[in-house]
Amino acid sequence: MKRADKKALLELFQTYKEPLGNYIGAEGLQKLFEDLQVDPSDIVTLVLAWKLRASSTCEFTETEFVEGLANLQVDSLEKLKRKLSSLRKEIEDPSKFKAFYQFVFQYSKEPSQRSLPAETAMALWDILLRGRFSLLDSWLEFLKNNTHSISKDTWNLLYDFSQLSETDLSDYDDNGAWPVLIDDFVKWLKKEQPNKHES
Amino acid sequence: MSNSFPRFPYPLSFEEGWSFIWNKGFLPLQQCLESGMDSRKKYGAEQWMAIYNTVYTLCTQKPPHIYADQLYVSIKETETQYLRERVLPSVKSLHDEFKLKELVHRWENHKVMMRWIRKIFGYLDRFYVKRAQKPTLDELGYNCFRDNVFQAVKAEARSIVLSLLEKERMGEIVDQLLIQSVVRIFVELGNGSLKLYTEELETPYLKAVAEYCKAVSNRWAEEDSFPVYMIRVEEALEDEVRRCKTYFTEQTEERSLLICEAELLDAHQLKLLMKEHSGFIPLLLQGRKSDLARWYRLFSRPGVSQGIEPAAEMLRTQILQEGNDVVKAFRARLEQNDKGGGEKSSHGQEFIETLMEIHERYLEVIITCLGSHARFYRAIKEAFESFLNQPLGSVTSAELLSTYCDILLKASGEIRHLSEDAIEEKLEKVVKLFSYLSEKDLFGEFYRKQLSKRLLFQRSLSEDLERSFITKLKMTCGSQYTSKLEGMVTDMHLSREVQEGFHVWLQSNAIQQVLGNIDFNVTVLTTGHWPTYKSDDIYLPEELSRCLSVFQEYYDSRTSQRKLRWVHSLGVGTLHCYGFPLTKGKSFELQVSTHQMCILLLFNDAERLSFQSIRKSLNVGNSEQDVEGLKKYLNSLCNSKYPILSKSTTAIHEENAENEELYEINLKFAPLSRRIKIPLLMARINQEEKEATRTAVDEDRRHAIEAAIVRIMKSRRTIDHQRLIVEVSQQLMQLFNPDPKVIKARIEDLITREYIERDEQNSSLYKYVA
Repeated sequence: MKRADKKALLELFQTYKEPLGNYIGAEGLQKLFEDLQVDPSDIVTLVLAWKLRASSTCEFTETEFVEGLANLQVDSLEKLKRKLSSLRKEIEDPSKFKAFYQFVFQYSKEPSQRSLPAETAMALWDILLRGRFSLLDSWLEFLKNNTHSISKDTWNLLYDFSQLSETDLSDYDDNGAWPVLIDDFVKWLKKEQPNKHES
Repeated sequence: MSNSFPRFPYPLSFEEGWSFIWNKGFLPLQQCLESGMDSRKKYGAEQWMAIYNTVYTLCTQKPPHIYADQLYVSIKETETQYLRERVLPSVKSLHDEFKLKELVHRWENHKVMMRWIRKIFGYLDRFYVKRAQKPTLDELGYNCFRDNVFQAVKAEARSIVLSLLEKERMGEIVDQLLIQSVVRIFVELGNGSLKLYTEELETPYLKAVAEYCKAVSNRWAEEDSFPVYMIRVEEALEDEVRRCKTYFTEQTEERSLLICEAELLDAHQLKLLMKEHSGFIPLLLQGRKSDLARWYRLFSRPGVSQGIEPAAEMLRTQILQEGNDVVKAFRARLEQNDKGGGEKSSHGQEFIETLMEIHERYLEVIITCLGSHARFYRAIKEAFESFLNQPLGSVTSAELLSTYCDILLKASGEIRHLSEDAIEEKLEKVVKLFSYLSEKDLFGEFYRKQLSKRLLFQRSLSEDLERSFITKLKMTCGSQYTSKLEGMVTDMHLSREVQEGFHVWLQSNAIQQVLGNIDFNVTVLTTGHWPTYKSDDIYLPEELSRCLSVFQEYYDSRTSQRKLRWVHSLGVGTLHCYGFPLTKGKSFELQVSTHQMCILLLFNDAERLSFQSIRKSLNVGNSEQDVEGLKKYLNSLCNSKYPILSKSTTAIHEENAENEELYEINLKFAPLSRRIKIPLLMARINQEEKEATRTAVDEDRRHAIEAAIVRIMKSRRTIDHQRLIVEVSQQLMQLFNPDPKVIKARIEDLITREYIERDEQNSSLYKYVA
């Protein structure tokens, strides 16, 4: 495989970067995704950020962009477009997905904050866990009335929770190590839909 | 030559020797035994020696003329024959006690014969027996008797003995010596081992005892009440002990007692305990002390396998029920109160005193009748811990208990009539209830608040009592629990010293004049010890603020780098009042709080003041809380009992009628006495303070839980969720029962703050982050 052409990447970077700063900002990203023919709310945009090891949302620094794409053996828009589908495949592997999922928290929150606003988290979950978490809609419904922010711990453990099969809920131990928010969710769920989750 | 050395041919033949021995020895002996003559009289020393020498000769001749073997065999044959032909028939021919007597007689005879044989044939014992590996002559003697006589008659002898014992049990008089003698045969025939005795006599005896006990206990249990049953059993046991001591070995006594205890006590315990009118609970409730004591004596014996356990359970259940009833009744009353019916205050006191009475009552029973056994202490503890911590409604037992202490230490109400010693006694009992509380930290908070009011408003009956109660708390919970309380009491001391010093300083520096006629005293408190009191910036009249600054000067001269924060809400003062028309020229004194004083002094300069102007003059804020507070003070001066001020609303600003009242001195005020004390608002704990206490305690608990989690994580490094919960609970249970949900919330918080983290593989495992 030919080594990635960094010069080409730099030029690519220049196309999208902010006029007054050395990074690709929100506008640049929007254009990039347009050119890639990818919806900004497509999960693959997050996977890309993960692969590029981006540190904060809606932003790619020069290093992240150039080095990151180089590591992916990508040095043109065409190659990137093609790469996207293999990225989609990559996260089908549960262990890769978990790492990716945990990354998204760090990536999405304000650097100065320790937790993620509930609204942001809900939007992200809709993208990330759609099709992977059978109780996703109930969870989102529950959160509507319930909380202001999501801690890293809760975020991480929600993934573990989503991997429990539905029938396991009858064994759910609320004296176990699950975060309190998830305990409350299960309690709420059992109350709302008593038939489905009784043991 | 004397007769002692019969002239025998050499070598002496066995037949001749034996014939001599037989004729000169055995035959006369047997005749004596048969006739009852003392055998010793039959033989002179010479005859003895002759026989002995014959034996010696027969044993020591040169081979082949050594006849030790034959001698031994002949002895055995002689004994056996005699026993079979003479002894056994005579024993067999008799019945009952006569049979026993004959047996005893024959046994004594046999022992005589054995002694004789031992003496005469001693040579064999010394030189033949071991070499030939034969039993000694004594052993031979025992074996012969046993095999030829005893075995044949033992069953009958045993049954006669047992029936005699049975008769004695029924109250008849029997020949004790005879029985003892027969028992002795069983023992002696064992020749050093008790095996024969145990197998042949003891075991059948014990079986008979067991049967007897079974039969009799079934009957008694049916017919008798529990106390009567116990008396009978006690008698039966004493009787059995006497019997065993008279006839049997210590080992038999022990075993027999165990059987009796098992049959008489263990087998029927539950049924008896639960008898409706005379069972354990009725005895308790009726205070039947000697019966209870007897029960304890009997049922704590080793043979009762369940021991005192069933009764202890019943005790616990009984106390629990009584306690729960009291709790229920109180809860119902409280509900009624909260809805607006019935009177309030004394219910709490009654509740506590009722529980104390229950506690004392049962403690006394445990101590006087139940041997102060730890199991019962545990029963009462478990019962109390269970019902004392039940939810009561709008109050908690912690608060009630603390309030009760407050009543005792203030000596208010009926307590007034008690001596200090009596109060001390009550406090001692209160501490016992305190030890059962699970929310000790909540008690501590209430107690602290109430103590501060007692100290600051001088309501304590006696400082000694205060200190002694704090010491009692310290002994139950440790010094950390009481350190603030002790600090408060000490502060009062120190403050008095400062006070004295202040007055001395005033005198010596001639500053008294600056204060005018005001007698000014300050109580200095150390912030950490006392509950938090808000300070406020109320404008004091000039005379007062002058006092404050003078004191500040003094205090600064005495200490360094200390800041004084004034809490006017706790201050009290006395005002001299002149010029009220209805006092007919006399003045009177009003004892009021600082705030009330400031308000009243405003009226020295104005007859009528609006609410707003009062508020502004005193520098009270405009927030709802501040306005409410000021209104409370004003209303306290207008109330019907002491209407020093009168209130009226102006018609001008209808919309603001709320905050536009007018106040003026009530010239119609007619005080009933020269000294009037206006009730202070801060003197009791109000609802606001109660809620603040609850909040403060909850917050302290959160901190305590966090500290415990961090401590445990630091020492364990890694721990799983369940274990962490358990250990946190254990660490804190002295003070309160942490709610697992709260612990969980704290864990999560600590994860967020990166003190601990979850293990990557196992999310139930926590790791300490260094």
